[in-house]
Amino acid sequence: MTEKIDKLMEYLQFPAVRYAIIVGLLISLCSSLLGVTLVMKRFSFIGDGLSHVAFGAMAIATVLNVTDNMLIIMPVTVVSAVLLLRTGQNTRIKGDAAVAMISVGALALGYLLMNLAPKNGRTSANLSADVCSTLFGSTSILTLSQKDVITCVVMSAIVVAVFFFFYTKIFAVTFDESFAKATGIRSDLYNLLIAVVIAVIIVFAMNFVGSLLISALIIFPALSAMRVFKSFRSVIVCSVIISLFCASMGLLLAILEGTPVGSTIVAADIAVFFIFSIISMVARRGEK
Amino acid sequence: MRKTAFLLSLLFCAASMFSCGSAETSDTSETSQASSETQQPEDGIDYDLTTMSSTMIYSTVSNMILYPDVYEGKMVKLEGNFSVYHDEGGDKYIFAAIVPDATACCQQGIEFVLDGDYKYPDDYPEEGQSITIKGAFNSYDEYGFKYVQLLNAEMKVNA
Repeated sequence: MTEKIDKLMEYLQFPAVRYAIIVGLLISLCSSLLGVTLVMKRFSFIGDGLSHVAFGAMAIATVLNVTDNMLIIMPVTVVSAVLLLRTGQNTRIKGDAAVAMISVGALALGYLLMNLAPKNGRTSANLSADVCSTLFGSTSILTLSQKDVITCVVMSAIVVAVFFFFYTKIFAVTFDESFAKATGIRSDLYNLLIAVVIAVIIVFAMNFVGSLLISALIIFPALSAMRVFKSFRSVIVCSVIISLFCASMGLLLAILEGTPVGSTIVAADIAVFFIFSIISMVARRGEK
Repeated sequence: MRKTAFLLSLLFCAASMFSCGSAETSDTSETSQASSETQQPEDGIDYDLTTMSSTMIYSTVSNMILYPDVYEGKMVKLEGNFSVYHDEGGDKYIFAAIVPDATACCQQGIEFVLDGDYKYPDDYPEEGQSITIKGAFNSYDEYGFKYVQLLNAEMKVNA
């Protein structure tokens, strides 16, 4: 155990590890805040669709050789989020179909474009490492630059501020959109706001757990919290705590034991979900 | 609630200053450089990747490729699988130590140039053989791309 702690202390000397922890915790905080809203609005799968769109946008940026690929990824993902959430409001089947269509379409085109990326002169292009890291989040969180960290801190501050400033409105839109509309709340505007915020979170979370595993980061903490807590506020608080705990544990375990970062974090989320499910079952039996 | 938001925003600003502030603001590319005061180099090695977990090895190699300036001139020791490429353009052989990621689905490598007169294939192991390489980190431009390599390298073939 002491050996592990010494090793961890040694790894913490690397700025890359410290950056990963900071960004990981910020992404977990943001994703868990919005996760509850998404689960309750039955948009759990939108994270997957948007992350695939972000992957496709990243491929376009790579092919076009754009230095700062965020300039392409962010607007494309935000526009897709707005379109998906708006379509989802009309009919549920169309919404599901739209998410599925955009999700697989963007993934396929993204991978195709990555293979058409410029050759590196000496050999044929080898982008498999980038693709793997982007899809499964194997190590990309451990290769962040200081600029990435600052961007993430600023964007997270904006996401948290937006959530707290519009907390009551988001609460109203989440539970009963028709009632919210009837009481004069501009639900379309708040849905648009939620869509934009989700897109921002997705783009940053892609570095953390990979685009195939982002949904887990959004839905598991919320679902675990919902097993035990009933009020909107308590579910959000619990969801944030679970998300931060799983992210930090998963990240440290991955660094120490050499497991893939993204899947280790998701495994921690799954374990917590089962623990909370058991607690919920025990509590219900106690009530009877 | 607005007060909470304000406090949280302040907290984030403070966190950003602490995490990315003073000591490290001079260079954005120092992502993966361990602070020299705390890193204890063994036998003149600045980065001993043979003692790290597979996730750390893979990410450190990634950082070396992404931010080569940080590692310029540093002594690096790493274990990987021997690989050789024939550069058609320059008509030369390029030798590399390949490192897989945690799930071995992706791999990347660092080129090395042995110190001394070695001939391929006689003086080199078979492809895929595990090797330990020790050499000075260097980056260079060719065909309009940046490549990294370990110069004056020593190679040990692992059993």
